[in-house]
Amino acid sequence: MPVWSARESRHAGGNRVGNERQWESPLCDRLVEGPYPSHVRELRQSGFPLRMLEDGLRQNRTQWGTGGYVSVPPLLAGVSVIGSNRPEITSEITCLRLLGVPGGYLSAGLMRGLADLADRYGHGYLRWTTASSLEFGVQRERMLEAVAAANGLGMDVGSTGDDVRCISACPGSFRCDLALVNAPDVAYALGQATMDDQQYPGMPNKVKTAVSGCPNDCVRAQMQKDHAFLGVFRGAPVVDHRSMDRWLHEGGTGASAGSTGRVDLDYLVRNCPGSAIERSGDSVAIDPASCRHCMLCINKCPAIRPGGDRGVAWVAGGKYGHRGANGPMVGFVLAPFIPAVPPDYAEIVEIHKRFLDLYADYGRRKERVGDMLVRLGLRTVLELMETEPDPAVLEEPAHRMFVVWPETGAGAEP
Amino acid sequence: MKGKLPAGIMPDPRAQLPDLLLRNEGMWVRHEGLRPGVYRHLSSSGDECVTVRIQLPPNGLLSSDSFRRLADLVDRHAQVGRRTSRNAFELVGVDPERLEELIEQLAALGYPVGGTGNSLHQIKSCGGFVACQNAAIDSPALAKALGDRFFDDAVTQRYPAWLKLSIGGCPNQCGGGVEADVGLLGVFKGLPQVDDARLVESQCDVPLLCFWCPTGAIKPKAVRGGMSVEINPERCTRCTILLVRDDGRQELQGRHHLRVGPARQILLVPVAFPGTEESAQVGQGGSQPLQQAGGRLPNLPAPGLFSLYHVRPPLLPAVRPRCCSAAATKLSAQPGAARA
Repeated sequence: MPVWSARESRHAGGNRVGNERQWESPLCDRLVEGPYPSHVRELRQSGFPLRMLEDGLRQNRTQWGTGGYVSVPPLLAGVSVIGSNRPEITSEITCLRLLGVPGGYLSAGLMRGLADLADRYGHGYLRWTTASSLEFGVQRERMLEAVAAANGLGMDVGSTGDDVRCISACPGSFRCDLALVNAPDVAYALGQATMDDQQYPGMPNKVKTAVSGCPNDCVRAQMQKDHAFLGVFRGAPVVDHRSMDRWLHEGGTGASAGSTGRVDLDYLVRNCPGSAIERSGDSVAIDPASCRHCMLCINKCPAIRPGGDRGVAWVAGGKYGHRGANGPMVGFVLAPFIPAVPPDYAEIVEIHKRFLDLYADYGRRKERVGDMLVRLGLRTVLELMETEPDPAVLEEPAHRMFVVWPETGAGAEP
Repeated sequence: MKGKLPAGIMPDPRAQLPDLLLRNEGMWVRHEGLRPGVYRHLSSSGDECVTVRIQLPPNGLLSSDSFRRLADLVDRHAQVGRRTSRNAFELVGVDPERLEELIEQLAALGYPVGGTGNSLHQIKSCGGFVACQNAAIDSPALAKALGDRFFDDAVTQRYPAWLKLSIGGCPNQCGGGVEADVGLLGVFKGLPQVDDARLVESQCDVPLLCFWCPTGAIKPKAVRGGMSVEINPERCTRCTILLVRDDGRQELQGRHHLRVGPARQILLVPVAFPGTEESAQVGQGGSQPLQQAGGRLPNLPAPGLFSLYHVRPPLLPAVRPRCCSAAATKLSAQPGAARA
């Protein structure tokens, strides 16, 4: 297997400007110091035109100019171009965006393959976008070769422009004890069903989708994504009295990863937002009617586990950006419970697809899903989708309550 | 060139997974923290899976050499790597007996182990001046500076709960901000400046631009040679729509026709806690959105952001403010803060 060093490919051609250090870079130098990992250190090992950053920091203004997502047939999605305001340093950067693996799992082989890809066709660096895709600068004339090579690794381009963006997921049941549905599996099923839409920018605006295994929502699906499928359970959490005894015997601490506060039964009773937990002797009883399924007791106590009746809730309309009529939004719960049946998760895929059709028809140009839902109204949307409105449909997920944390006493520090 | 492009391949998570994780799918029963940055999942089959989480450079920027070095470590010490949703990195399935050795090697590479449990988690940031034309502030540099300053909090677990910090370079918030416990957001103070000549030259879709503005601040204007726009300073919320230009065009060399004024400021979006006494409990805020609290946007933003949140276009139906509070009502009653 040929070994491609970043340095070798850096001088292979293209319109890039290498990192010849004939200029002073006091500001970038300062970003290399310090214990926290430094992006400048990484960029120095690559062919990134670091002077753009140095001058940007000096002027406190980005040196990149007009940019955007472009369709370069046959790639209608997956390419972004950022122009430069400093043509003497570099003319532009063209980036390829690869759909992320749901769950974020990367085998060592794939990581090496991606590194080779960035060396051979790009500028020797990769970056992870905040929406789970992976981006690397590419030489424009070798773009199609790069895509073919990525396909060889089992990856593909997409996730730019007005299409269905890459579908992300939490680690799911593969590595998490709390996952109520296997999120990467659901995301894979959704991704396969919407593959054409992921690579063709035919929507009014971008549509982001993510799957979270449980209401903890580690991927921030309901806030960042237009469509969030959150694993949920019905009924009350299940208390395993035998493990509860053991847990109490152990002193109750260390219930979740790295918790330093002391967590005991009183803590659970005190912090339950629905006041659903009642102390009964050396255990607890949970009232299914007042339980909000917030996962607090489940996170904190290994003896309390989610109930067995599991599915996903569909939350639509979240977004971060300030654009649009409503600014940043948390999604609306449009379907509180959809059964999740492996392996093809047909009902989830179907409802996602139906909504995408509706959005393509009714969404205004450049209107995000959240703004469309507000404009049309949830009831109208559900009627258009021929879905029976459920009384449990919430206009917004359960209201945030105060949390009283137990005092971190002496000896809590590990 | 062989095969058709794009090929339409959805990356398969199962293809990446080692036998340990496939075998124990759905069988994990509990997890526990072993030390900052290291935690362990226990399976009902008796297997255990140790995960080491490291902090990565802001924006997940990695040189291909670093990527390869991490891959070597995954090969030698773990079973699979994983990028987390906050752009940190985990080595999953670490051999517990060689944990110390791995942590030393990671430290030598400059990637500290930490960011789990009650600590400062990976600081999430967008591309900033490295990769973006819209950025008002250089978010990776800010993330690096904050990471250096609070480094000890990332590698120990001395907070009352976990703290997540996100930095977005502009109100588009690609880096997040509203979702974290503490969000930092670059915002523009100055009005967008319109360069009539270049706007005409770029053949920008002016009606779309006008339609796109959420507050109706953009109006078309006839100028010599075509159409341009003018911006109503009282209505503009600096939402940076304007900075996104005619995408979908085939020209690879774009044209710069609108710019945002030079004055910028960084805005602190505080935690989504309605009260003030509890504000020391920064932690639980964004971490468990459906939990005690439900997914919630910050409701005590600095005054500058109120205009962003609260000015609504007159033609669209009034929406219940999602961040409404007494403070918000008071502020929006002030002249200039919002227009009914």
